[in-house]
Amino acid sequence: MSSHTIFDYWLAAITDLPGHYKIKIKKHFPDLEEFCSLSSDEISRIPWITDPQKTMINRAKPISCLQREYEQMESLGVRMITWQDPEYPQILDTVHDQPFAVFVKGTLPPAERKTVSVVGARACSPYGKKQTRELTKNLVSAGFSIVSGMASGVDGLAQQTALDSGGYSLAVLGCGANICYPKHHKVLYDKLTEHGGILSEYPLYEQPVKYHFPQRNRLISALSDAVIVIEAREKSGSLITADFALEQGRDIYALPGPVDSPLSCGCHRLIAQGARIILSPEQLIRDLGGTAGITKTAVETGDIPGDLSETEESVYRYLSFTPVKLSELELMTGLDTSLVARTLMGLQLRGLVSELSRQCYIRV
Amino acid sequence: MIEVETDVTGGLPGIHLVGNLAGEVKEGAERIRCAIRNSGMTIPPKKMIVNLSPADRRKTGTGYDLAIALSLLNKLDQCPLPFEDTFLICGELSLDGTIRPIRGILPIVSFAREKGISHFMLPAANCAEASLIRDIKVCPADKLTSLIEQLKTGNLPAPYVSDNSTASDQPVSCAIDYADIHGQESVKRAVEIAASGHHNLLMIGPPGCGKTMIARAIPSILPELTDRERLEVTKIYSIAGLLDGEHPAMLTRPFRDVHHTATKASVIGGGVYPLPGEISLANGGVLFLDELAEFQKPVLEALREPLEDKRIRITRSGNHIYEYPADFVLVAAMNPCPCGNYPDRTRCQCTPTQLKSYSQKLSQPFLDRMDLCVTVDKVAYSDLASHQNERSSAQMRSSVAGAHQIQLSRYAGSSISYNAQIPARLLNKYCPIDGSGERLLAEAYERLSLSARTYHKVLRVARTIADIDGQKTISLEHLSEALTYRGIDRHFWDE
Repeated sequence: MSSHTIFDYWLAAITDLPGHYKIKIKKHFPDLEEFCSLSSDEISRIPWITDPQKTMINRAKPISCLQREYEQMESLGVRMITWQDPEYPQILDTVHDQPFAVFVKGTLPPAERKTVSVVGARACSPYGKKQTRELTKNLVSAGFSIVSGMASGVDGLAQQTALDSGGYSLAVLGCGANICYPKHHKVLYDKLTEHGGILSEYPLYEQPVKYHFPQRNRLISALSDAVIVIEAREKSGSLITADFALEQGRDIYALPGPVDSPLSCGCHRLIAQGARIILSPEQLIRDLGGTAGITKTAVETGDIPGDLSETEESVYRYLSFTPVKLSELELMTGLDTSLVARTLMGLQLRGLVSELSRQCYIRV
Repeated sequence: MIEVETDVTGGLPGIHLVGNLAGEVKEGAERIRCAIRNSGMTIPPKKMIVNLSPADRRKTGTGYDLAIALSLLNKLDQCPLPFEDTFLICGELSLDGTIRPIRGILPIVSFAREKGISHFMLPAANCAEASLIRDIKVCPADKLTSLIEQLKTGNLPAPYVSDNSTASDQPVSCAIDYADIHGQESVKRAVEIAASGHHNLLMIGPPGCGKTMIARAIPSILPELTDRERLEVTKIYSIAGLLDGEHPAMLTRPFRDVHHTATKASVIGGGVYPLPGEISLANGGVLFLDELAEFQKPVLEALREPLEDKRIRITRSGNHIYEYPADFVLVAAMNPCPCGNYPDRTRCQCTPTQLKSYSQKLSQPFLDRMDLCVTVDKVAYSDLASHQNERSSAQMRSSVAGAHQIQLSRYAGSSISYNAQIPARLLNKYCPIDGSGERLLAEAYERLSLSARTYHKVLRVARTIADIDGQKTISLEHLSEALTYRGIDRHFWDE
């Protein structure tokens, strides 16, 4: 099944060398063993390899160091797919700086389905969380596969929701495929190995170094037909993904939010610069070319359940999907603190209100 | 009870004090010698041995001076002791014969009274404190000369009559009134509940939102000490040496503000001869721990036992166990995270690792001891300006006092005094709820993921809320409000 050699692995392990250069080298030296055994003098004589790249090649880990890892690959559940492999995602061929090889656990996205990536801030707001869940659920029911980076916040939540809804999800990692980062996503990581896929451009045991992440973001957008940004600060990794998406000719969709929330700032900028705006799950799916299936579960702001008492109504009126504190509610309703507290507890127990954190409430 | 006996024998002249005595007791020999000489009497050059029995018990403090002096003089036939009843004699002697007051007179007198002694001869300055104990006769002694003169005539000094100027009804002076604190009504409510039922309270909020101010205003709403409590608190302060002549009795509930750099010994008590720590000094009142997350872990862990047992036992070598009461209300304030903004994710800059390590500063058992938890927020400017529905200290104090009265009569004759102390097995008796209340709690148990401990605490707090309301039965409203202020656990910091 595997048509690669340890020399392919060696080449793939030169992480700072761009993918298309590796491909060029492979094209010129189909038998990489020969290339591997070249001395540094011989390498410097090759005209189309620039000086910085020569340094990278010379500094590459020797084969002897990589022997162990390479043999372990199968037992770790990872397989290496080079660009010549039939399994290599065709969609990556449309990207200029495509990876020479990818390391995969689980399965790759089914070719007959469209893929979208769902990305966003690590420290997202409750609004962001809710929307991530809503949109992902709808996308999965409309038959889309979800790609993301398995990071904390929006990424992880989108992937978890996709799996929970019975759909497929692929995580693109900024570290070796056998390393789970962040650690608290171990359960998600295992589930993705089982029911989805994990993909990495990096060799085994490669640590999640900071500069890997912008590089892997290009793969997230490369592997999808469209990029969806849920929440992003003014300067954030999600905006980098959006930049790559532009370069790669992918569509970008951004979710608007409260104008005073720093987490929606990046999204608003994208929209101002021409990204498409998400108005509803149905509209998003239609724009993406799918067919919307699910009915809306969100309650529109402004809808008040009919069976509330007068006090409950006056409290409920001031709640929304942005968190409100107990002290604010006292002031807004003008009611006594005990009464507000009791009313909120009643609404909580009826499932209409959720306590985000102690004495801080949002509508469900 | 220590007895002083003197014997005079032949041998090298000198006064020898024996009986496992600490340094300061032994030095008394010199003080006594000088005091006697300066009072116009002479000590013959004989060998005098004074024994303080039982001889194996360690004796400390300078209070034995007077008794030893009188025993000596009596043995030397220079001073009669015309006591019809058993007297307890206490006092330190200074070199000129003045009889000086000692620390801890109240527990001494209280203990002696329990043992059946009702007549005392004490330094004049200690008499006011001693007279807090009822049914005793106290004879003040001022100077050795005048005392011996009186004894020689066969009389005792006239008994001390307390002028009762230290009686209660002294208004509590507190720098801050709750009416001065704007926009924090829910926190004030939590404080009111905590003070009423003696529930431990945790305040969480960003820096500068007023937690410390709210805590420091608590003394303005605490009701008076009961007679029994007053005695206990005064005893503790007496041992600690914190009473002065003008305030021989503790009238108001103590409020101890402990800094987070405090050591374990200063907080729970200790020292070579263990003195009461902050927790005992807060007995009957409030112990305030500001910046809870900055406290050393061993200190917080050492608090767990006294929070449970309401007392602290300090053992020393030789199997001496010192036990001090530690029945206080714990009020603590802390930031929610290192940057202070959690759970506002738009402002909180902390990484999940930082949040996790912050949450581990408090152990779960410690958090379990906090019955109430309230978040304190920064007050918006508009709140500072508006003054609707604000409660003042006077209003809160009367609510708390009312609740205390109810608890006083409810628990009269039992071993507990406040709702927070109700043991689990007596919850059914004191906090009965009806079917709808059961259903509410069952719903809450599921929805809010309560633990069994929290369930019990909610019942106790609901009892207090009902007491503040003047209601005998615990209603759904009381339960709902108790649930709003329930304590937190480590999951508070999960995202």
